[in-house]
Amino acid sequence: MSTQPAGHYRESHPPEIEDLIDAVLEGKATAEQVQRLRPLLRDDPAALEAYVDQARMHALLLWRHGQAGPAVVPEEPVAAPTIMQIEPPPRRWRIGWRRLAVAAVMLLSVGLAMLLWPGRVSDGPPVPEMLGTVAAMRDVVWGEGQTALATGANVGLQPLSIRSGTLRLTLRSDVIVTLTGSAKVQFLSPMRMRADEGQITARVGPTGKGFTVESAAAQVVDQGTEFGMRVDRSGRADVLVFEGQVDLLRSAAPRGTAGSTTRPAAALRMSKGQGLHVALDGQVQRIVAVEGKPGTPDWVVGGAPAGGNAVIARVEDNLRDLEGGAGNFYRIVHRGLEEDAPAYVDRCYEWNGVDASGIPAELKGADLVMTFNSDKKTPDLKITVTLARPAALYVFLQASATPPEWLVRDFVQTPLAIGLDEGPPDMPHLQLGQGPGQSIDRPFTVWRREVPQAGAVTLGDNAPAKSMYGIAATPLP
Amino acid sequence: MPELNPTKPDDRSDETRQAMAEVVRLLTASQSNLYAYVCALLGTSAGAADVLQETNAVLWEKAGEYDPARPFMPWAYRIAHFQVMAYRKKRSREKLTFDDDLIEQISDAFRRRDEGMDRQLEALDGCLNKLSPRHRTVVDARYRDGQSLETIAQQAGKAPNAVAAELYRVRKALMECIQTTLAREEGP
Repeated sequence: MSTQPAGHYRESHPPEIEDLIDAVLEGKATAEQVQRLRPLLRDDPAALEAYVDQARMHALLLWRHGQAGPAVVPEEPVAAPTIMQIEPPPRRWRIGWRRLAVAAVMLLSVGLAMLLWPGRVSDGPPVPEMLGTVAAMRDVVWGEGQTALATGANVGLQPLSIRSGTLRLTLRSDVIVTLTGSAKVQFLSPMRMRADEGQITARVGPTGKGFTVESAAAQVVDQGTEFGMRVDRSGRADVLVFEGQVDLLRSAAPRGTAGSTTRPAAALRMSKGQGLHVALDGQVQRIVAVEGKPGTPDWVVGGAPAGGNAVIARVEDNLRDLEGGAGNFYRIVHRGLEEDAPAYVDRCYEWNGVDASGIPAELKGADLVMTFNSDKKTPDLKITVTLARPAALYVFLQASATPPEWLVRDFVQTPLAIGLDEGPPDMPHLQLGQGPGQSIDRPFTVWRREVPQAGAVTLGDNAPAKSMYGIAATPLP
Repeated sequence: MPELNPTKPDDRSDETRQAMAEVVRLLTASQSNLYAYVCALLGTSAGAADVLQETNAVLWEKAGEYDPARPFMPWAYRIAHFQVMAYRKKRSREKLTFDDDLIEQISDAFRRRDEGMDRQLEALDGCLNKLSPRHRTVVDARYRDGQSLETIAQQAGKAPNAVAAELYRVRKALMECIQTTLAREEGP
């Protein structure tokens, strides 16, 4: 879209008009500037039109980004009818009717059963807005005082809480928000959500870029992505980027950095595969591993939940210690090894059977660790896999590579093979196939080690190769 | 015209309920436009949200006077105009940007270019996506992050007036894009 400084008012009026309009709209015009602007607008229709266009767009942009907040908020919670109970205000509204009437309009339009107005100034619009709808839910137990919502129900600026289950909301701002487990949140505007507790997965479409989730410790500003945020009751946050990028703003600067602890720290740009734990004092710590299938909201920070039937409990390495930057997390996918399973956290490649017979039966349904393809040339790498039970541990090595010493020493090569399907955006000239034997770009050999007791096994660095090795495990009978 | 007077709670016919629901729908859809209108008349966004709240309250109070057979926006603009004037009376004269006559002119110009309800806001999303990354960054910094021109300029290594000029051009381009989009939707 062209933004060249052309236009009839630009050509027929002194450039001063733009400066004057800017100064007025920014609220910084001096008395002298206002005095100069008035006759220009009064006497020149084109200048007046330019002002109106600029004022309108300035206001729409403020509105669009949730910055048109009220200076005054209603003072008290107000019970209100739902949209199905529309009726004129009752007589008791004569006391303080103005604010109550405003609240009524808000509530009628969004179809809420109850408004618990927050005790703080919202940065969202001061007016009714239907933000989105309940798209789906699974095993939801509603929080105390929370009105049960049906699929398709409107969602507005009200607090929202669930005790357990999964609740998916589709917002008009091109954002899909999924709440999991015990969660207490509130939308402050179409583009901003406050999380007091809970696990949130947000998939943000192109027009939702800028969607923000905030907790006491951190704000996560989407930059076109899918991200996860887990907030505990004290406000500490785990932030994970599953696709694209986010900006992480901490509420306090960590000790030992420039600036005081009461000032926000500099933003951290986080990319796909990176995860950080943010403490209330602004300190950040790398999240090393996340359990859960990509594309689902059922992820668990740290690894597999205790007491489950997972084979791989945790993964750690000797790299990526934080130095003020963002860390990377391994992804553990319980029973994740299947056709077209994502192979790496930092690439869009997939595991498949090398031919139509598919992934070997011995490996199907194995717990899978998505490693970092970018670690393929990392020297002195140590990856420690903690097994939750006796297991067969597998390493997939690119077939053309010379097996490293640690692999030959600790593992046995099997006659099995598995294939890697590479594709865009990392390999734009290749296409991802679907199913076994389709578009296999690199065959991998399969190495096996029986581990008779639960515990940790340490793997070494990759052999010189184009791709990083993969890790999987199955339970021993 | 159906009876819509909200001070008469006994009148709850289906027709009244439907008419009230229609007022709520129209009021909801008109919010961004009314906010822009108030901003333009005041000359600033400061105080605009308060004026809009008062406007909403009066619109709701007078819902019974609204004739569904007539367009909603002229009626809503008229009430918003009154609220702007009432707000101005509470302010000292030196804090006012425009005089009464100029406000009339601005109001007329704004309403001549009324593109209708929240369609502008919908079109704006598509137009924002057409901005170059550089311009989108400036818009995000100013309107999403609420940064001052000085802060944006400092981060970009530019003078504040250069950033202001850039934002001016971006707003102009967005306005033209919205008009083009809406004209295309309406068709020949």
